[in-house]
Amino acid sequence: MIKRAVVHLPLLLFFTGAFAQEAPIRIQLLLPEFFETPFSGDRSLIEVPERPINRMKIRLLNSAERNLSTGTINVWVNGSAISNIFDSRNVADGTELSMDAATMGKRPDQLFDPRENALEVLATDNRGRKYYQSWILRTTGTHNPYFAYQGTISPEDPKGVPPDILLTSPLAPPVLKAGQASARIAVKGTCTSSNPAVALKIGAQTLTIQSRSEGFEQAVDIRRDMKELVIEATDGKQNRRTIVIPIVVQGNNAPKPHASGAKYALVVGISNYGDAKGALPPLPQAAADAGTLARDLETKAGFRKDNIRLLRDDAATRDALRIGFSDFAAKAQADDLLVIYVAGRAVHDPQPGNNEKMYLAPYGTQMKAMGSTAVSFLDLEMWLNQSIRCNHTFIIFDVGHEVEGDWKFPGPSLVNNHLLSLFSDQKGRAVLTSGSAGEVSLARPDGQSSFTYWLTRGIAGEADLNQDHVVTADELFRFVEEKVREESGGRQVPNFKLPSRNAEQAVGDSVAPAR
Amino acid sequence: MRFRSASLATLVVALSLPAFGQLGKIKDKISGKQPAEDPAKNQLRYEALKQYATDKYQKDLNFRDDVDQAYEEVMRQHSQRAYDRNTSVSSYIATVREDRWRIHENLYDNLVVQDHINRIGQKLVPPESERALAFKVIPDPTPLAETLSTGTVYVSTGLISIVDSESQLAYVLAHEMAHVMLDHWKERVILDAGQKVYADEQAAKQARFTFIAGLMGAGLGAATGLPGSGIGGRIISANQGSELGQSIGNAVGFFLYKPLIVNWDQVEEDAADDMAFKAVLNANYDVREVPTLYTTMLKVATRDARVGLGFLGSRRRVEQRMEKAKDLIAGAYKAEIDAKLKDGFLSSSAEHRNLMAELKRDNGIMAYYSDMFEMARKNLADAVAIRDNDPAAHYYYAKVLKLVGRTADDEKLARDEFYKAVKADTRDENFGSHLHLALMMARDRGADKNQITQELDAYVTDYAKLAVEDRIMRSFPPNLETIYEYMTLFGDSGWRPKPPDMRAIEAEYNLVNTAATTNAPPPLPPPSSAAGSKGTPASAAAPKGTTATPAKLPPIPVIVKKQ
Repeated sequence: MIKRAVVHLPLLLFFTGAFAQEAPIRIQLLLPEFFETPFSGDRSLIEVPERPINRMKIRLLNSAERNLSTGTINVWVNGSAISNIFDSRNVADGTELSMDAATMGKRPDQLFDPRENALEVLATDNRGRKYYQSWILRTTGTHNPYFAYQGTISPEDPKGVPPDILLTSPLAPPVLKAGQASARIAVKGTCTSSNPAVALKIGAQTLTIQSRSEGFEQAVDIRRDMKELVIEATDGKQNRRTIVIPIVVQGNNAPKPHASGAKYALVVGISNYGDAKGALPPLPQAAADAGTLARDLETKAGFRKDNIRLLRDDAATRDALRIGFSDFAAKAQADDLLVIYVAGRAVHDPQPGNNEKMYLAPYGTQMKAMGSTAVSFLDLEMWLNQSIRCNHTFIIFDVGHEVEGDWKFPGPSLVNNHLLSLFSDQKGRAVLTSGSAGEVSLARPDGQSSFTYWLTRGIAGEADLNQDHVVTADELFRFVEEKVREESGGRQVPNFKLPSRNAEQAVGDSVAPAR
Repeated sequence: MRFRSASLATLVVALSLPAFGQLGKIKDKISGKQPAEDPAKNQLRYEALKQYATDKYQKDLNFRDDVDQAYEEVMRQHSQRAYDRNTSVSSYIATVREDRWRIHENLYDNLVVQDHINRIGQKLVPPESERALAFKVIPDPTPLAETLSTGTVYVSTGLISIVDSESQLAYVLAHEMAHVMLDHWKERVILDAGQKVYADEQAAKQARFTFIAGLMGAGLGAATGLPGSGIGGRIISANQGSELGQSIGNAVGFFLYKPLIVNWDQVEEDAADDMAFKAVLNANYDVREVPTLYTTMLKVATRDARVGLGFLGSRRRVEQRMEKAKDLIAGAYKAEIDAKLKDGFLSSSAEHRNLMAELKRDNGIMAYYSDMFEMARKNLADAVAIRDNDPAAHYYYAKVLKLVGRTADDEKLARDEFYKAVKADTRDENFGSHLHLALMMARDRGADKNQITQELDAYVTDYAKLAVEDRIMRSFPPNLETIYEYMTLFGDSGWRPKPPDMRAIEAEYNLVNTAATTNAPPPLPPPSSAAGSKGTPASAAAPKGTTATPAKLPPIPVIVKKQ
């Protein structure tokens, strides 16, 4: 025994030495338009000014030592492969991929989201070892979820930033009640700009802001024929910020395009992941949350009991989810309403070499066999895309819970970001996630998930902003975003995609009539 | 059936080609000839012969005339070869059962990739050079490079597809270019003629055979002809191969013109390496990637012997060349490399990566049909990783995974890829992905029958749709799919080609026909402005005494369908 060990020892030392000598590959992100210093893996959440991202560099230090060819380095943004928009150069300390306005021309589709972007890099060396790194780029600035924001950079000031307007009033869209012809509202706030002499246009009035940061107040009359109130600040260099505040007019609304048929709900809540060794840790409130939501949908939102499928704990195996997502979801026809809610865990695969993979975890998920025991996001997309016929589908995920130990991903978990991107290009589907990329779902003192708490309150009628006794998805999602953000002190901000919401198509679809 | 005969033809071509010079060794064994002697010794003898021939070319005017004449013949043959390839370039959509793809013949029929590769090549030509060169891509999954005395450098899609960066590709092109710039074809002819004279002088025919066989066995790069054909044999046999290739006629595309695989000798290879090194460095590509290139290619060749060493020469030579490249990087060129590193070297442009997605897809498909599984899998995996919106790349990646996959993960990946192919297929052209997806779904426990029938239905419907559209689609250019990509790139993702107005065309033909039949002067003034103005010259040019047979539309290229 000892003899064998002696024989192996030098070998072991040799190999240990060989690996120890190799410098690890470090991957850095540079955003030259915004920051001078690079970001490495330990600073993965980056707040960027609200400006289009036109330049980006990714550096792989010590790539030459690991025989890393540029053809084996791939980049994704929000889950889309974008390696074809990077020039790659070899520099003294490694390899540098760079993107600029010219190289971006290869992809006419809109690659970057104005609000949040998850960037992933995966490189494979010639021995098959993988190197993964991700960052979240989040746009700074406080936004009211009910208003639409837009920033425009002047071509004459390419490094400019649009002026920032922080509104303290109104905080929600103003409402004209039935029979009310007009109303006077106060628009108050602070305008900040690095290029003073800002022309601040509030409706038809224009104010001038002379200093870098200045408060303003203006009374504005709103009338029934106005759909919105536009606030526009243009600085001395023609950088512009626009905020559109919708005006809610009650009484003479055109009928909204409601889903006219039956209502279906698939409600999943998984607290317990099985007793197998190495199973995911329990998530106490998920199953109870799902139960609460299913009950509320039935008692408060007019869903028939037969049309609600509730899958909890050991009833929510991979096969049961597949059947639920394919068979059950297929029941809802074009004009029906379908709500899919999942409370549980989504896992960003922590195993080295698999870091680009993400799964929804059913009961019985095993780390070593994720492919067959968990639901990859692509599976989820495949099942739903093949089964959903309904034009009014709302998919709600409360799955970004914190996990410790072996299951913890060594970086920001991108599950919320990827779930949001999966269905964002699908007509007639809305997605709401409990948080943004890298954020975890927080619990209230009683243990209930803050997100689901506000979701159920919203459905029960509190989200009905215009008091027309219909909670639209638009109202509900904005309500949940505002309340959860407020309750978490900004640590958890739900995110959503509502298709063509500016065109008012899906916005009016009712999730639930208020009581 | 057609494919089988093509494969047989390929085998015949291949056997007649110098690449299969290894056959010589086997024959030697059978005939009891002496195998190779000490390689170093052989090399010395070979170089002595080369020196002899070169001296003779400079001093002996008669010899020089003979050589020049023979070289002219080589150039003529090469021009013919280039001409044949250039004038028979084509591509067409083919279907085999549920697969649908585009076959490329003779030259890779992708204008943008051809132009891109040529531009990389042109950047490498020394500015002071007066020679004009052209760099072209041939559709062949085997990694090959071929140089003609005309100044044409051909690289195969297979070679480009396994090269990991633009820098490494630049080196491959530069190396081939160097053979042209250094007049190695002429050197070949001098050597061939010199060898004959030398052998005469020795007046020992048997000795000559032994000598040649020895050179071949030594793997010095002279081993290119069949035994007994001498050094010149490499050229002659190569040309025989090409003629045979032509006579086989319209075999499946990428096998039609088998490249001339010429193994240059060590001195020539070294000289080409030197020149390539300088050229790559001058064009600001990273020469430090050269050893990586060799490593990658050796690795690929180890996995699949067919991938072979068409570009590299023998394995032992590759190791020498790799060492030499490392020496140059650490020694002679170190200062220059360090100076250039301050600004950085170009490794791959975004355009290169983007085009590689197309090329790797097409080569991956060719490799798939050639049962070169490793290459197919790697090419197609790369293609979908670069950009994930190409249905054909997803479809064939899934097919290769499904075919050679062994684990549950492979199967899962194959299924995911079939799904992605369905999803990305906005023009309903990859009907096979619906079929395969349905078959994979059918294996699930408690499979959803509705979804399976939906997918099967989509397969049949899309297949039929193609068949119906077929007649119209054949009139459009074969590179329609590339045009779709440009249309998407420039903003019109929903663009569909507009079929010509057949009634107007038929009216025009009828007009021509009527005029020709009656042999009457063209009507004046024309009865309708559009048809008349176009019809007039044609009818005037119609030959006298044309019969009453109606004028026919030109033949439409045929879509090959195999069941």
